[in-house]
Amino acid sequence: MIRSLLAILKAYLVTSLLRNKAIIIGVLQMTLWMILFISPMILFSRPSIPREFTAAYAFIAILVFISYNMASWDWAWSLRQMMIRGILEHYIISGRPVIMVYVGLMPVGLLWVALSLAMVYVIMAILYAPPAIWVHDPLALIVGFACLLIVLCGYSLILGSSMLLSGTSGPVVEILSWVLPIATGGFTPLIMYPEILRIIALTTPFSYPAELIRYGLIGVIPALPTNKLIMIGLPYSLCFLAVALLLLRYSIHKIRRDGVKAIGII
Amino acid sequence: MPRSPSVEAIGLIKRYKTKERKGLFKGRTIVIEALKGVSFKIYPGEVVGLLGPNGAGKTTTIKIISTLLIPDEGEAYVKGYDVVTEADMVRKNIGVMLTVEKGFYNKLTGRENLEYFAALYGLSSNIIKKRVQEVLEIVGLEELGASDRLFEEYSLGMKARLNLARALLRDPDVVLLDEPTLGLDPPSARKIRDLVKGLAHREGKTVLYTTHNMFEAEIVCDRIILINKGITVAEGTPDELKDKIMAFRTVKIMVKGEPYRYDKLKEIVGIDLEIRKENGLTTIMFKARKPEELIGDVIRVLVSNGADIVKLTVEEPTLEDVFVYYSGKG
Amino acid sequence: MGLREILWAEWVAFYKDLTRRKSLIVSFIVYPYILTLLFIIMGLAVGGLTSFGQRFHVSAITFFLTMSYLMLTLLIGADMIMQRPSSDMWAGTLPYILASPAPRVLRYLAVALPMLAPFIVQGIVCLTPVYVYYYGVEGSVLALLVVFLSVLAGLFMVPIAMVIMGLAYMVSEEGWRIINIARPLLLILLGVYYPRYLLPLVFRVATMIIPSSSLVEIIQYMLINNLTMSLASVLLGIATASFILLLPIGSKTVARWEEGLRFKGVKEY
Repeated sequence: MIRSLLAILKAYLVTSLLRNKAIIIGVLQMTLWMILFISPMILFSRPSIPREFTAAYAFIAILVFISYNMASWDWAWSLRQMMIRGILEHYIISGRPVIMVYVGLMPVGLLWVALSLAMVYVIMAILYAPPAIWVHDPLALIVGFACLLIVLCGYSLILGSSMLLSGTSGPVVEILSWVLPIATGGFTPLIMYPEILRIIALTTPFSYPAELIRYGLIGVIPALPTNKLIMIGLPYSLCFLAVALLLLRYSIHKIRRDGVKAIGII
Repeated sequence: MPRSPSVEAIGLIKRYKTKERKGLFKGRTIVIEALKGVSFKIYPGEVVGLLGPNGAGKTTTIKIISTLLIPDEGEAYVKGYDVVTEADMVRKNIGVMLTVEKGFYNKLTGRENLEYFAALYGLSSNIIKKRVQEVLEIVGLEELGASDRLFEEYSLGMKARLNLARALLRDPDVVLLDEPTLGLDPPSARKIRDLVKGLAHREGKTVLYTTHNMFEAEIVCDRIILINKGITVAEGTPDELKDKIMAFRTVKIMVKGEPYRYDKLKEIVGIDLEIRKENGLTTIMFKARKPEELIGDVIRVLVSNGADIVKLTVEEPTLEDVFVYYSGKG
Repeated sequence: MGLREILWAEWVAFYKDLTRRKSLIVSFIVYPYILTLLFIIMGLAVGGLTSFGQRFHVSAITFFLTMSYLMLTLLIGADMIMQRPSSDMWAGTLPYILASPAPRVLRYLAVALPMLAPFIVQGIVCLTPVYVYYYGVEGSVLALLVVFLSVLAGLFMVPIAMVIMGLAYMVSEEGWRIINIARPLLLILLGVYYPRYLLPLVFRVATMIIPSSSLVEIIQYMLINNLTMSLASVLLGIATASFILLLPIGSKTVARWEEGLRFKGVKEY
């Protein structure tokens, strides 16, 4: 099992990092998109709030955004790539669980997020102000990141499974990757949401990691007390991952029943 | 004591659902029966060709046996293991080649790709490098100096060899090859064919091989299973199959001029009569079980219409004739 | 072979594809709203709608809905041109496209035009209600003007897209990687979400080479009710001039790329 994981990691590192510079291009690309998105955010800033704080809020929003982006376009998309390249069938024949692909991909994806965030920090510092982030609550921060990782994994598995089931879902993936983090408090502290939206956001697993990270990094008051966020968020994230794993299992079974779907270009 | 088969299919049925679109929002689901009851047995050390026209169900059959598809009805076994309920055991005993040109990472070399799949297949780390080297040598990529080149730089022939190498990584007893020479140039196709024959005859592996190429099937396969429209239509060695339609030999009579009395000719030879006209010559063709009983009458009709007979040939059937015969009437 | 025939071919290819992908149609419709929502919520994370309104004298919803619609219109045709070589390589159709005797400029205009057509309907449906709400009845006239200018801006993207596509694929067979970088860069330079007039003059002048950037600026001035006839004429003139200037450059760049392919051969995937 470990050997297989290392093989996936090595293959992914070699293909995306060493041979085609995908990670460098990805970071560059993300930096430019972030400039495009950060610049209008600044137009909303209140003159009364120090620029460093505004930058910190924006930085956390971007952290969540980039994380979901990576989960959509890196982890979930890799399943689609495996289908297009005809590798998925050999994966099934190998008898290994497909979840291993994700575990093998994770370090590279996380490295990409870290690099992109570093770039974003630098850009913000140059164009606007250095984000005022510090560790406000280590426990909330650690649990927040753990929840985020689990939720991202579950989310990408669901997205990947939906691609396996439907054959092509480029636009759907795009829409989901925009809507989910927006609608569920990824960008904006839930405390600023109208009550009904806050309740809806808290019914999804996406809001908990964002709230915990925001509190852990810049001390924004969360919609629920921190201990409640941890007590609900962590098991909820794990349940979400379990559901995602079941869906993946079902989609592989469906592939074996109906055959691999044809893939569209878009 | 009877030999037990390496691969056995019993009444395989597989249906696919597809949507027929009508306009922007309308559509209806159509069920396509890819397999309607395919059965066969393959014994150890045999190379068996699965032949059939496009859409006959060859790839579906291969995918069911390789555990990639679950049949709707029927059963299939590899070395006695059920492909549905004991898929893991089946996978440990098979090597699969599903396509010639795909299935690898472009930015990895041939060797790296194989090492990757070897790890996935659960080979232990101390033998991965050795086994990969072995299969690279078996398929001749080492000889070509291509083992350490990127997959994207490979020619189609090299890609096919790498695909075959992957199928051999686990040193499986059963090798399933889906059109392994499709699109290859003659030397590359010959190399693959030689490799396949060697696998069965020297190493005792069981090979199930799908192809359209009759020449190839004839020289590679010990036995042939012909399927058409999802059912097995004929089975046997190439010679046995030809014998089965031996009764249908092709008679070609080339005449100068126009024989006119086609209705009379049709009365004699039946509906299989075919007429071709070229450069003032007319070729009359028909298939017959005992052509010697008909040729006299045909010639009489032709001569009585003033036709000048230039050439008369009786052709023995080829495997292609067997294929056309069964795929046309199966 | 004239524009009519090529246009018809592209039209059929695009619409047959579009009508068979419902998810694509859905994304066409919802994208401006999703992007607007994204920007508003991101804005709320750092400040408020009032701060934006006070700074720009236009509601954030109007501004971002218009700009999101405009961004899609600008990108749709251009992106189709820039992505065309890689999708043709994947589909194996590139050699046949290269063998086509159709004039290059017409060919690429024909690629963009069918893509832009649905954006006329989308613009009217998406912008008119919001404009009428914020500007009154005359908002409907403003919506029509914005749609016209947006589609024109989309069309004016053709030559720059040809230049980028030609250069990217000349540099690398995997030109799509360069195009992935060029795409957001182009949007920044166009000043879609961060108006060009807020930037230093040097930047503004430098970006005038992109024909559509001047049209984007006209739309932004229209939204804040600050567009004079003379400014509109100057910007429209600059846009048209740079479009005409870039057309032969685009054609030559594509021709050079095609010529290079004839030496190297088309890569197959």
